[in-house]
Amino acid sequence: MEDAELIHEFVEEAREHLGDVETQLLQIEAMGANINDDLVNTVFRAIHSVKGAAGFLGLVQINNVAHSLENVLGKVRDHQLVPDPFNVDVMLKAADRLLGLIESIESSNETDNAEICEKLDALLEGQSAESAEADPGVEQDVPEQIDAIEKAIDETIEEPVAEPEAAAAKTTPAENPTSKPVAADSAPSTSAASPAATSAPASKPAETKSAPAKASSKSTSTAEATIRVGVRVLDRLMNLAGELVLSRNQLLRVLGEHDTGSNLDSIVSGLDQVTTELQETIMQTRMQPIGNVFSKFNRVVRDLSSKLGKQCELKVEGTEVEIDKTIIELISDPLTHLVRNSVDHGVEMPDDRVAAGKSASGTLQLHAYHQSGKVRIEIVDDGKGINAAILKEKAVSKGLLTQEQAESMGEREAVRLIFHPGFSTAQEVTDVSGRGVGMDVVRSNIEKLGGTVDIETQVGEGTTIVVTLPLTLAIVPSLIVQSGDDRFAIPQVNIAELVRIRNQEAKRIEQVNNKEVLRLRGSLLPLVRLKTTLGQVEPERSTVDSASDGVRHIIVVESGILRYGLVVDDVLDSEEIVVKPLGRHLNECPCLSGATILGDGRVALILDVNGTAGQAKLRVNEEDKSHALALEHEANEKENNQSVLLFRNDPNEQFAVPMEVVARIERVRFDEIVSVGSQELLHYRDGSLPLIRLENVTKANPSPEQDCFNVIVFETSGHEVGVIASSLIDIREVRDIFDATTFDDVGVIGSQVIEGRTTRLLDTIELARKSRPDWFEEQAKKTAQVSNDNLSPAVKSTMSDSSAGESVLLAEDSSFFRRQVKRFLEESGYDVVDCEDGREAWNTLKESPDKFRIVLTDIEMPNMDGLEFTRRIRSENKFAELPIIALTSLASQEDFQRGFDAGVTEYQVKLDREKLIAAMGRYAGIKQSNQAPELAGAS
Amino acid sequence: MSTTTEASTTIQVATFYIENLLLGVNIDVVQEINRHLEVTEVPHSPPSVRGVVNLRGEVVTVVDLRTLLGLKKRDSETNCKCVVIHSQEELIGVLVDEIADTLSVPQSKIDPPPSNIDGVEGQYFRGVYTLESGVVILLDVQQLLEAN
Repeated sequence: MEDAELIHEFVEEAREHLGDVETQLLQIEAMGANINDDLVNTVFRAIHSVKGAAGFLGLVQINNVAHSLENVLGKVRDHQLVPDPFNVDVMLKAADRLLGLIESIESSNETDNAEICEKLDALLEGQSAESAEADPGVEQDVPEQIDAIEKAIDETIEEPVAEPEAAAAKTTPAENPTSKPVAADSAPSTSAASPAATSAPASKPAETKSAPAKASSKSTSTAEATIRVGVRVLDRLMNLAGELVLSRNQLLRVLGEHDTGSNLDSIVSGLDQVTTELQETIMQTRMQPIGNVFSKFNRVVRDLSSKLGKQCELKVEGTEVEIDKTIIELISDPLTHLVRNSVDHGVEMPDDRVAAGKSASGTLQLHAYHQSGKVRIEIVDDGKGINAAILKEKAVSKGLLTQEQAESMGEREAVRLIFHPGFSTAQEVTDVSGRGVGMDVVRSNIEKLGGTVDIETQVGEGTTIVVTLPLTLAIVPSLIVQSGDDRFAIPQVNIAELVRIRNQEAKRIEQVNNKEVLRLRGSLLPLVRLKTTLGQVEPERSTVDSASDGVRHIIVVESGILRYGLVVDDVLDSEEIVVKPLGRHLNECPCLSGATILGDGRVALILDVNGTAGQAKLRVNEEDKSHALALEHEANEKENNQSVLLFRNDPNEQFAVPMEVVARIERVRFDEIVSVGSQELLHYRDGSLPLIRLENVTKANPSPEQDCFNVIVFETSGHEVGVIASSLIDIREVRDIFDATTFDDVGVIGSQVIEGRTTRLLDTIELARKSRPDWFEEQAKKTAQVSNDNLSPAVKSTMSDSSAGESVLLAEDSSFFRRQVKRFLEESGYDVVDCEDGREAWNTLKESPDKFRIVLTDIEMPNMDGLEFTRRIRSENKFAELPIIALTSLASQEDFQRGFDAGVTEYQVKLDREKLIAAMGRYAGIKQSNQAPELAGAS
Repeated sequence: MSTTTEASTTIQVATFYIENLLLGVNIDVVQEINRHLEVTEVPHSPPSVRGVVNLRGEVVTVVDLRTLLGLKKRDSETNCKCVVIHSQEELIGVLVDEIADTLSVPQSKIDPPPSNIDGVEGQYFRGVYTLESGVVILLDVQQLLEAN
């Protein structure tokens, strides 16, 4: 019983002793012949303590190894052995072995350590004679200094368990002031490496005075500086402090009600302040310097670069930055992986570096600092950087991206591919980084901690990886929401934005495949109803119909690549919550990650964004992931994508309509459809909705007979019309490359293979025209009155002949869109000159500056993009008034702003011909109003 | 050392009622007895879990002993008491109908439990102790509070 306790104590202490030895040995190695006696002594004493205690406890093997190592260190201390990579390597191995033995203390006596001892002993014999000659240059005044130290050591050496560094470090500067800089040098580095290290106070000059007193009291001296406290105790303290805060709040409330008017107020505010400080201080006990993690990277970089035949220097900054103990523990592995990766894949071989005009030795910098309440860690190498093209190639070959996606992907996005599951950047899997643990694991581990990781790279210059971490896991800034009778906390780190949908905007919430989606800035966001998902109440029938309740709160949440909208009853407050674990009975609740106690003392549960999505059966399979990845890239590359609704009528034929034209989707029973003459109608709300069956207007097979149909509703010429679909498949982002020739049919824009099926993209307006030509005649009459858009062929020819500013200049690189837009503009009576890119269009415009009435331009184009084209136009005075309509598939607010800044007059969606024609009419009308009488006369 | 000798003769048992059953647990595992605290329900939790409460800053799971014993749910919880029990390094609240006395029970007088008492399955019973007025059923807390 007593033995076990003693051994436990020994293990704890030995760990502490050995914890710093590695760093110190590396420092010793770095200094080479220029031996820092203090440092060597520190290591010597650490090993000596371990040896002494191990001998006392009968731990023979530990004693043996420690003894041999001590002997070698003794040689170094006596300047008879010059530290070099070779012998330091042996010493490091011995220190590792000691740590290993201590970790499995029970079986340590059964191990065989003869080999390492022999190696150590060999150092002793082999180099002793040589080293005496090798370093005669060592200063003569050193022995004096050593004597002093040795005296100090000898005093303490009888007490094997004592930690006499403090005594020694303090004695030295007192007796030999010249060595002070050295001591000062070594002290901060050791203290940074371990806050618990007892040498820390040694660097404080103020304590020098008391040093002799402390040295004499020996074993007790260290106990005052630090004390080991179980994390459980701290957690308990934390809880109690939190409880104190609640009691204080209750007190404040009661006092508020009774308005005592006494001087209780000042007492309470005192209590208030103390409570807050107490909580903060307890939080601080959990904080440890990031240097605890950084310190081990010296060894990692050293060992790895020598193994790979590389030269690499590690520079560390910001070791003093403090971060929660739990995070320190959990970030160690991901950081190690990143560091190894930088050495393995980033830093080049010395020859290559020299050939590239760099120094033979690479530099790896680790830099930690605080930024806006978070800790940022940068891992910077000056290596070869990452070639985005190679990554893309690999992504394509692995099937993570299609060729088209790869081509349209920006450099930055491409570099981020390394965080995608199943990626390894080395040409072949090396045993260094390719251990099945990819950067995706690093990323997900960091994200689990509520952090982020990003990468920047310059080919030939190097790579910077930035890891951002929260200061603590125990306190999480969260949003408190109401759902049913309960309140829940959602970590802010998962929240992208809040959306309020007022009742009149309820249309923005749509049903696709029986799932709700929100139309948010042109993209569709899947919705999850918290109440339903948590099973708090029966699901409501449908949002589209329920017009009773007012505002809807949607929280857009993100985790990794998952992104969805969480529908809650109310958004209450933003609060810093203290995370508490849930008991074992509740381990199986996927939606929850913990609990917290709110200001009123009630427990609120913390939602796990991932788990909630899983519970709501939001699909996140691999395919979706790569799809989502593609979506991410779209943020920058949206121009070339088109969001379409996929559906089928005959189960074997797949169709698509652009999402922009879809007003909503209705689900109807077969018996709700009535026939009036040849026209099928759906009675609905106040009117009736004409329905189109695809088989009646285009070459398509009829739908099978079934009880329920989906009706895709869109608006055209001021009328609503519905297309009958037997089943809805999905909403997809697809490339806007459609083959316009294979299915040359009425109402079909083109075809594309989507998910292995040939899919026809429908032109809804064309379908409507075929189905209800009367509407379009009406419309044509109306528009003809307003502007001269729909001129007779005779007039049209007059216009193009006169070439006096009636033509439209169209710049669009996609031949599909160019043909489409040109076709329907021509149908509307415009004369269109089309160009493949901005440069061609600019040249065309310059050649005949008076010919064009309106410019239509795509934004993303090769050679010269739409923005540049616009700027060129606006740079010339004569074009100042020329309307420029930018065509886009989808764009963000920033995109719009960039366009407007460049001089774009208006944005229009590419395939929304109704609106585009209307806009054209507006501009044509303005310009033409002067000319109209003249033209009318001409006809 | 000294306590174990005493305990081998007599144990202290905290007793409480569920319907007409008088149940008891070794008082060593009982941390405290509370009036029914404000419970926060936990979605998708096992049926026996009533919710979580704030016990001086700690979030404690509360289970309903009625559900655990397979009895029907109570109509009103206003008069319930919560027995807070140490179990596997965790505190767990157990909802009971009413608190009764603390008894000293000689170990030797504890009889093996019958397979069922008043229609309640005996899987969580560790033994019975006969009083003049009836029997006390000693609960196997470990079994009872095993998750799921």
